[in-house]
Formats: sequence, C-alpha cells, structure tokens
Amino acid sequence: MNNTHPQKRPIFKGLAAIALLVGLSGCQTTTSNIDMNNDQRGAVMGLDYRDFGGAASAMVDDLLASGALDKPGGGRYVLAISRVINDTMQKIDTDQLIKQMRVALLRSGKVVVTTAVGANGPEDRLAMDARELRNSAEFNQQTVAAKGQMIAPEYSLSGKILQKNVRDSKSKQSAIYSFQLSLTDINTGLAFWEGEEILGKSGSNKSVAW
Amino acid sequence: MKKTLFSSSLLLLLLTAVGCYSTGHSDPRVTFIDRGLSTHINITDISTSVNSGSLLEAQVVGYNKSSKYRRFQYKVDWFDETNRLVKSTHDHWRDVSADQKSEFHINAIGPNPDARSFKLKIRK
Repeated sequence: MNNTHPQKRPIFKGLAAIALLVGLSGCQTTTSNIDMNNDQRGAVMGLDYRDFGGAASAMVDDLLASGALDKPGGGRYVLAISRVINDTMQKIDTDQLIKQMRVALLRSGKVVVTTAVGANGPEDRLAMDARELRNSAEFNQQTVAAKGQMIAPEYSLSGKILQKNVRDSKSKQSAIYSFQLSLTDINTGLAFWEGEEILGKSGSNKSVAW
Repeated sequence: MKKTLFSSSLLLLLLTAVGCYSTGHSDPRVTFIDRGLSTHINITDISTSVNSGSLLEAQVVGYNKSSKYRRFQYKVDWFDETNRLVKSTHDHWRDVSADQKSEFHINAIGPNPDARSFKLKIRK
C-alpha cells in the first residue's frame, strides 16, 4: 500500500503545476486595440478623449453654423489661439479640446491658424527665430523670410473648462463639466461667437473625478 | 351577419391605421442600425440648405411614437459631388434624445463646402 505513494507524487505535482499555469494565464488581462470609431467602454467620472471629441464637434458645428467665420467676399480668417483655462480638478492639456477644433476649422476652409502668435508666446518659435538668419552670411538671403510677410490674427479663440462636483448621496456623486469658448474679433475686442457645452456624469463616490 | 361585418370593418381599419403608423417616412439617406429602434422612431422630414458660408446644413425631424423617453445615437457621413466620403474630424456617434410621443430634431452641418450630400445612421 505504501509503495503506491512515490509513484502518485510526480503525477500530483504535474497536475498541480498545470492547474497553477492555467489559473495564472486565466488571470492575465490580454491587451487589445480600442476601436476609436466605436468605443463603447463604460464612462469614467473624469474627462476622457470621447468627452473632448464630443464637445469639440458640437462647438465646431455651432461655430460654422453661426456664420461668424463667413468672410465677406470669401477667403479665410486668421485665427490665434488664446488662453484656454483648465478650471477642473484634473490635469488636462487643453489642446485635447482645441486641437480637434483647429483641425476641423482648418478643413472647413474658413480659418487658418497662426502659430506665430499666442497668449503664451508663439506656438512655433522658429518662425520668428528664423528671421535672425538675416544677419548670417552662411544663408542665401533670398531664401530667408522677408520683412513684413507674417499675417496678424483677426480672431482669437479663448475659453475655460470648468468642473463642479456634487455629492448626491452617501454612495453617489455627480460631476458637471462645462466647456466654454469665445471667438473675439481682435480689432474691436468684440466676441462674435460664444459656445458652451455641458456634460454631466454620475457615479460612485469611490470613483475619482480628478 | 351585421356583427361580423362590423368586426371585419373595424379590424381592417385598425390594420390600416397600424400600417400607416409604423411605416412613417422612409428615406434612403437614413439607416437604422438597430431595427428594433425603427419600430419606435419615425423620420418625418428631412430638409437641407446651403448656408452663407457654402456649407450644407441638414435638419432631420423625427418622432418618438413610443410612450417612453428614448435616448439613442446618430452619426452623419458626408459625401462630395462624386459620392466620395468627405473626411471629417468629428464623424463619431453623437447622443440625441426624444421625449415620449414627441418630435425630435437632428441638425448637422457639412465639414466643408465639398460636402454635397449626407447619410444618417441611427442606433440605440
């Protein structure tokens, strides 16, 4: 009777090892690409790319429909991007909103955005820095940017992203986000278009909205 | 005999009414991805115009014939004069809602002046 034990032990060990391997591989989360055109994952309390995309689309549509960008006689307005304040509890790069709008507005044929002027300095410093080549004997001066060629902006786009958290109950909270933008005529200082998109989210108090 | 004739007439009237009710406005520009939704939602009117900025604007009017508030999604694809898809940065699904027994509106604007026609998809 005792002789059978040593034979069974290796089999038992083998089965245990297989079971452990199967168990571990079952726990492993596989990586997959997200279908960005049809991302139906659950909502999160914070802002994600879908929220920025939705807000940007709605605001671009509203801006295009407003007629504020229809230049008399045709042509494009030159737009500068001013400050977009992040007044939420999250660390947000406001370009997540603005870049999508810029791309859509550029494609609309109504606007061209200057990267040489911005509220926090030029987005692309090289346009100005390249003018220092005027003094360099190493460069063919005919290829250096001439004076008086840059186009000043006619409009500026500024805004704010706000967040307000409300505790609904012991276990539930809600977060209200507001995307606000203004299009200002730089010449007169008048805002010819203003848009606001409001987004509400509700979830567990354990969810983090910052 | 009279009773049977009355019942038959009533049934015929009912079937006709139901038939008219569920058919609604059908337009090749609108596709219901979820067939179940089309039993609750009717498209009643589609109008288009070109605005002062040469952009095509579309308004789709629908009716939620159910007795329930409904929330669903739509997506608009835009096409140029040769029926090629016009690339748009904001061609994702958007939310729309309709109160029970009420009209709802979907407004859309072409991404650029090349957009000459559109197709609307609706899903749950």
